Amino acid sequence: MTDQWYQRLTAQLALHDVPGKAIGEALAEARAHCADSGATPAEAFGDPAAYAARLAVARPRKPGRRLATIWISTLLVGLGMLTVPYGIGWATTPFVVVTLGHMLSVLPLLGLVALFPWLLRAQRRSTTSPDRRAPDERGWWLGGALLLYVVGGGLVFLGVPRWLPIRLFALPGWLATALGLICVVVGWTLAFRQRAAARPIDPRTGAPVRMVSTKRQVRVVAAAALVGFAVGGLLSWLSVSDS
Amino acid sequence: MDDEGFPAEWLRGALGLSVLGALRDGPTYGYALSQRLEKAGLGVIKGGTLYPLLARLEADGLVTAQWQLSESGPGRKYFSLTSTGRSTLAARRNRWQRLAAIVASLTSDEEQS
Repeated sequence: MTDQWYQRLTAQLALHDVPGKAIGEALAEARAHCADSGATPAEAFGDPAAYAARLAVARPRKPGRRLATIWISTLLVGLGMLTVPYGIGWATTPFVVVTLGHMLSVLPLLGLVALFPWLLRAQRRSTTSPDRRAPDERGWWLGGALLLYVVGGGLVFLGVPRWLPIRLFALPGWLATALGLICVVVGWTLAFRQRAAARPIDPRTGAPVRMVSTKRQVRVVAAAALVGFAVGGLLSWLSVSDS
Repeated sequence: MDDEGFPAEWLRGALGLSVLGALRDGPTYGYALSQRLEKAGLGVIKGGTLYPLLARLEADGLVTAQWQLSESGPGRKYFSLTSTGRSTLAARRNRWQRLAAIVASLTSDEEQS
C-alpha cells in the first residue's frame, strides 16, 4: 500500500512535468518525514495526486518541453510505423509512389498528435479533481469521441489515397523503408530520453531510484511497438492493395 | 489557544512567515519544523502542506536545503534561512505586526459599538 502511494506520487509528478531530480527529492522527503513521524504517507501527505499537484505548483519547472517531445516522438513513431510496411510492401516494385491522397491520409494522425495537450490536460484534471472516484462522465465522452476519431481516421487513411491518386513524388522502396525506420528509432529514442529525464534521482546518493514498475513498462512499450507495427502494416497493406 | 484552532485561510497567510520565523534559530528538518509549529500553537501542520511551502520558499531563494545522511534511517533534509530569507522575514514581520494591530483595532471597535 505504501509502495503504491510512492509509485502514484512518482507517476503524478511526472505527469506535471516535474524533472526526475525533483521527483526523487519529493520521494526522499516523504520517506524521511514518515520515518520520523511514524505516519503512513497517506496519513501525512494525503492523496498522492493532490499532493503532486501542490508540489508541482511550488517547484520551478519548464512547462511545454515534455509536451513538445511527446508531440514530436509520437509523430515520428506514427509516421515511421506506417512508412516501414509501405516501403516493404512496395519493395517488389522499384518505387513507392507518394500521392496527394497519401499525404492527406495522414492528417488524422497529425490531428491526434495536435490533440495531445488537450488530452493530457483532461487526464490531469480527472486525476487531481477531488471527486475523481465518482463515475467520470467526461471520461466516457472522451473515450467515445476518441474511438470515433480513430475509426474515422482509419477510413480517411484507407479512402483518401483512392480518391486522390495525384502523384507527387516517388521514392525507392528501400529508401522509404529506411526513412520509416529512422523515424521510428528517433521517435522511440526521444520518448525514452523523455522518460529517463523523469526518472527519480535519489538526492542522498545521486543514483536513480529503482522503480518496481519499470519491467512492466518495458513490456507495455514492447507490446505497443508490436501492435503499432501490426496495425501500421495492416493499414498500409490495405491501402497498397486498394491503389 | 482555543480548541477550535484557526481557520485554514488564516493559516495559509501566516504559515510562510511562521516557517521563516521557526528557521531563524538555525537549520532544522521537516518533521521537527512541523512539531515546532504545532507546539507554538498553530495546530497540526501536515507534511502535505509543509513540504510544498518549503519547496516554494526554496524556489524563491528564501530557504536553502541540504541532505544529511543517517546510518539507521533514510536521512534528513535540513532547511535553513538564506540571507534573503532573513531580510524578508524582518520586513514581513513588521508588516504582519502592522496588519495584526489594524485587525485588532477594527475588531475591538466593532465590539465597542
